[in-house]
Amino acid sequence: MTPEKLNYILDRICSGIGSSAERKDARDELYDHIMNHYEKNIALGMTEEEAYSEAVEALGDREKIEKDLTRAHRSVGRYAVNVIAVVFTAASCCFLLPAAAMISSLVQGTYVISVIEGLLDLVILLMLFLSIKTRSVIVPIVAAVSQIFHFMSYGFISVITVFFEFVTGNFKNFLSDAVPGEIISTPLGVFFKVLLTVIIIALAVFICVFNYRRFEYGKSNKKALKAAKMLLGALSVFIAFSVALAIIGYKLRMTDDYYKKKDRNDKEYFILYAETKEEAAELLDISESAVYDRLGRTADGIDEKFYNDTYIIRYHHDFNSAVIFLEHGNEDNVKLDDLIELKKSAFYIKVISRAEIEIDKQSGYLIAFPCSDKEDLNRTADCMVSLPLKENVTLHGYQHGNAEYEIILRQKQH
Amino acid sequence: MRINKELSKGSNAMLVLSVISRRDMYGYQIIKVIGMSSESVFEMNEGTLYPILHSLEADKCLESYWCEAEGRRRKYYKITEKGKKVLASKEKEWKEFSTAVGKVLGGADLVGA
Repeated sequence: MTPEKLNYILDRICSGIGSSAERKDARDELYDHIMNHYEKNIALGMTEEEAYSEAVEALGDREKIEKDLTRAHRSVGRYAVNVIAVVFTAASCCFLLPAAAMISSLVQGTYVISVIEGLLDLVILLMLFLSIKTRSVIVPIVAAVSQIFHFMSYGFISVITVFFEFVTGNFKNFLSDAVPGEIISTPLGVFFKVLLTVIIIALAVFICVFNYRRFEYGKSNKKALKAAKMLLGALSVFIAFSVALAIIGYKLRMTDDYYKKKDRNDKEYFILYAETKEEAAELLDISESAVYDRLGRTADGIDEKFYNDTYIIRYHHDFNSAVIFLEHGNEDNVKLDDLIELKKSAFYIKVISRAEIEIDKQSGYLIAFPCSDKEDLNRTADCMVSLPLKENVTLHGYQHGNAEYEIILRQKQH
Repeated sequence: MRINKELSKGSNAMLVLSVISRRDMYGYQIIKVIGMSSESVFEMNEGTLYPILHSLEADKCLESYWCEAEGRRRKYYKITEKGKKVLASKEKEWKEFSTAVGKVLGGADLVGA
């Protein structure tokens, strides 16, 4: 018997105690008792080894002590954790099975599923933390089972898709696919999700085996357990960060949808400003080809086309931007020449961001285009038309990809 | 004379509460006091004592505190009010039991037998 062997025995005897604090206390108490015995034996003239052996033998049946101590320290809390784990896993499996059929809805950009799954993963990681502390075997088993459903729901599709992306060299969207918060419907994002799932399953299996086997507390096993805890912590931070980004993305998407759908017959005018045809198409919810197909040419180099009765799309070649006009009750056949004739002193609207905007009161046109200095402003003033409007009118504008900004009318200084 | 374990099993908790009720003690000390008081009739070992102590503590019959002694932590136990009541109840039960056993073994007259 050596001090190392004694430590091992004490660890085994107390290993069934769920709470780590109670386990330590019980171990210290037994250690004190054995050392009292040991010191008495030394005083009686025994050698160190004999003194240790006799002190340990005096404990009696070690397996019985372990069982009795485990029973004495059994807590309601530990049972509650196991029950909650089973109930939660059953619920998450029920959720995940239908979720497999909802993958197509993810393509439409609903972030809700991503947020819910992220929260489920965070709860699973919390359960794994608790299973380390309480030495539970049930909790990591149920955590692994719930993740296996994830894997079955998403794994096959994403692995095949990402494999073909690599094979065909189709990396066009690779970087954007990897951005957390926008990973909802992209193959690479789902692939990362599956990778996370596999890691969680591996961790759960490791913790389950560790708790079941109750390994002796050698340095290597303690290091392995510490590494598992650190990995759990890192995964929790990553998932929490992804959930936060998904929520932000969802909020921005809601803002975008809100401004697209709002009734434009209100007093407030809405400006949709796009820098490219692609952005214009997205804002108007039409295809890019539809934007291009509707373009025509005039002598001023401004292309204009009409798109239903609501707004006109103009693609201004000099500024290389698509300008969207909100048309308020106008006819389809309004031409640019007519607008130029109406040119008068203007109210210029200085947008807090980059665009300059003019308003045509008669037609209800709001003309927005990038204007960085006075020269550009004069140039556009020559080719665009505006009429005085009532002062102190506040307009709300939304620029794609940014938050809402305010536009306040003020009179142009001559 | 060693007593059959089954015979002493039911009284172990009472013995532990009884010695602790006199003064605060730690585990090794409890075993020594019980052994000396019973003139070595009751030789409780550690494997029996500590589960009893922890169960009594979980039942709020005992409370514990830690002290530093001889360079290591030592856990002392003291009896609580509930523990005193439990002890009183067990002592009463034991007295009734031992009186009844004594009467039977003493050959009390069997009326109507």
